[in-house]
Amino acid sequence: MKEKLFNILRRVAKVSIEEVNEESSPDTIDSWDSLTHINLILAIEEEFEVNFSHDQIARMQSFKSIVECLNENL
Amino acid sequence: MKKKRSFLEIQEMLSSSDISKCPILEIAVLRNVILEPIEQYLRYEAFKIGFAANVKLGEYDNIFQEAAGGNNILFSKNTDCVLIFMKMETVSWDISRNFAVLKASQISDEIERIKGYVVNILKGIRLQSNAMILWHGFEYLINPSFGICDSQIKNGQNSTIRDLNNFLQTKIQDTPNAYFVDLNICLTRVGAQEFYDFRYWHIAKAPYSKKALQQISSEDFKYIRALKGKNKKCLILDCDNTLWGGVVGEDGFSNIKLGRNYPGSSYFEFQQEVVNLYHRGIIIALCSKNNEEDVWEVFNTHPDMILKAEHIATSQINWQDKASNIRQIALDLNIGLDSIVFMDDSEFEIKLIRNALPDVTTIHLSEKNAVEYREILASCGLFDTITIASEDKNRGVAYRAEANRKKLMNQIICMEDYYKSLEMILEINFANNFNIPRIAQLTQKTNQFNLTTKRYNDVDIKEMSESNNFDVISISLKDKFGNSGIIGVCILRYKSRKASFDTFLLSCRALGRGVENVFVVQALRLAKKRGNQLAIGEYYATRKNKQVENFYEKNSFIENNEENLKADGIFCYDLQEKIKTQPHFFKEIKSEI
Repeated sequence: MKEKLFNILRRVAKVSIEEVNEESSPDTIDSWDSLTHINLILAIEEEFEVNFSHDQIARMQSFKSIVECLNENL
Repeated sequence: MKKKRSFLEIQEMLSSSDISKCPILEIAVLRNVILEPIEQYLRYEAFKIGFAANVKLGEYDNIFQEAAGGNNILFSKNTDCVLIFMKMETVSWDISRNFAVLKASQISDEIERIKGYVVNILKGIRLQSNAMILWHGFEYLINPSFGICDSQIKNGQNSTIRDLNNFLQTKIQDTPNAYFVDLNICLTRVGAQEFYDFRYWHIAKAPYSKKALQQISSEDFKYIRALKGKNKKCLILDCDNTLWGGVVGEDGFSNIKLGRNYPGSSYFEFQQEVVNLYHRGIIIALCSKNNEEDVWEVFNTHPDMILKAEHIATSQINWQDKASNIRQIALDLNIGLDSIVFMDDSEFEIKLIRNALPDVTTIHLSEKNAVEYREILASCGLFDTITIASEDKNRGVAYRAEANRKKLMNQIICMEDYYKSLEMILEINFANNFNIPRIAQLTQKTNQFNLTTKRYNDVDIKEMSESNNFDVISISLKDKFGNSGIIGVCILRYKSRKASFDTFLLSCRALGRGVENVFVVQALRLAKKRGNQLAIGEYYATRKNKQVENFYEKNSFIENNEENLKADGIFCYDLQEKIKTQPHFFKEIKSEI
């Protein structure tokens, strides 16, 4: 799951694979702005066939919290 | 129906190297909501018709400022299309959410305020750009404030929305090259439950779901496709299990499924949709593997055939491979493969055409889903044009006449005698209010006989026709088989006593009749009359206009590439000499020049 997530993050934020890791967040990746965030959630919802609630989306502000929310929904 | 591609799939496709070879399509988006994810879907739709879209979004809730105040980052002379998304929730809290509390006078104040916005925004954009404007109308409230009473009272919330949309539509009709996109149609197709994503509305002021954005992008591209001349002109149909259920050669004439009741009703309704396209000017042709007489027996004698032989411009009914047959149809009709849509129920035939003729758009009809045939054709949007010119309505007849002319040509060998026998009448006119839409349309659609392939809209043509530095002329053709209407356009640009052929084009249905040789002489006469000493013809090569690369030389122009280095060929004609004569096999040439 984490590999798949790294891959999505890398492609949506348009960064190289070395730049994404478990500590990734808008603080470590410049292109991870609020608009990338919308596209990111959209892509994750599609690829994992899940639907996040609004408070989950608001919470998903780092790679770690994304994994957390995804686990709640799988 | 086709499966929608995912966000990542689309992103992958858009980062491929193919896209960098595509011409650029500049799209500016004015909006008062967060709409950023639409960029990807717009670029995807653009890529599907061969363009690399450059989407520029205006600032959030800055429609008025950017339109009326000016913004030279958003608008330039290269802007192709301006999309406007003015959502009621942002523009008026009162009308969208607070309606039940409002007094009548407050409602009308709000309406006046929004109307003022609309007028100034349209004006402001037109001061900055002549690009196509697509204004997305206001959506109805799914649950109006007065509940079921809203539909009963005179000035309900949704009737207020309706009135504002009517106002918008009128203003847009008065603005050249501007179009009203009915978001309520998109909303209905997707369904309100799926159209809105309330999570993002509250988190980011982004109202529309991914499905909604895909639907809106595909709707917008029906307009852009037509603007760019990428709309399809011809529908080629298979017969068995496409126009009727069953195989006429095996099941027999009386056992095919076709009629007002199930199961024949699927095919009956599908045929009506095909006939509707015919009346919108789309050429209908047949390509099927049958005994030809079996097919015509159905056409001529089956009581429930809505599609008639007279609707069919040409046909290839034989046992040869369909790729050769479709190529032959394109030759007979004088159209490009990329303006053809082919529908067939056989997966084998569809795959064959996809491989052999990738420029042809294919639609696979699955006999198991015959109930959806009509919907598939009606929803494809591939044939949409932005204006219905009167010539369009006659196009089917014109192409039939073309086929008849070819038959006559087989009987008469001497070309001159053939031309004379057509009894052709030409008419040359200056651009006027009646012919400007058709002139603009021809510049947008004509690919083969087009020396410069410059695309213009109504506004451009009007401006040039009113300017002293330009002349815009058109040529119409009538013959014993029918009236083809306006079939050619020439735009002359004057500078320092030199007349340049900015545009010289002829519709493909008028080719091979010597019309162009009259038209060029008429243009040269006009250039001379305006006091020019030299006429300059330019040729810009495209993938499709190779047939005209020697046009100017054939008409006694002399190649001279010093005048302009950008063109692929420059040809000069000395106007101080006597101008060459016109061909004499025309019955009559009427000219305003």
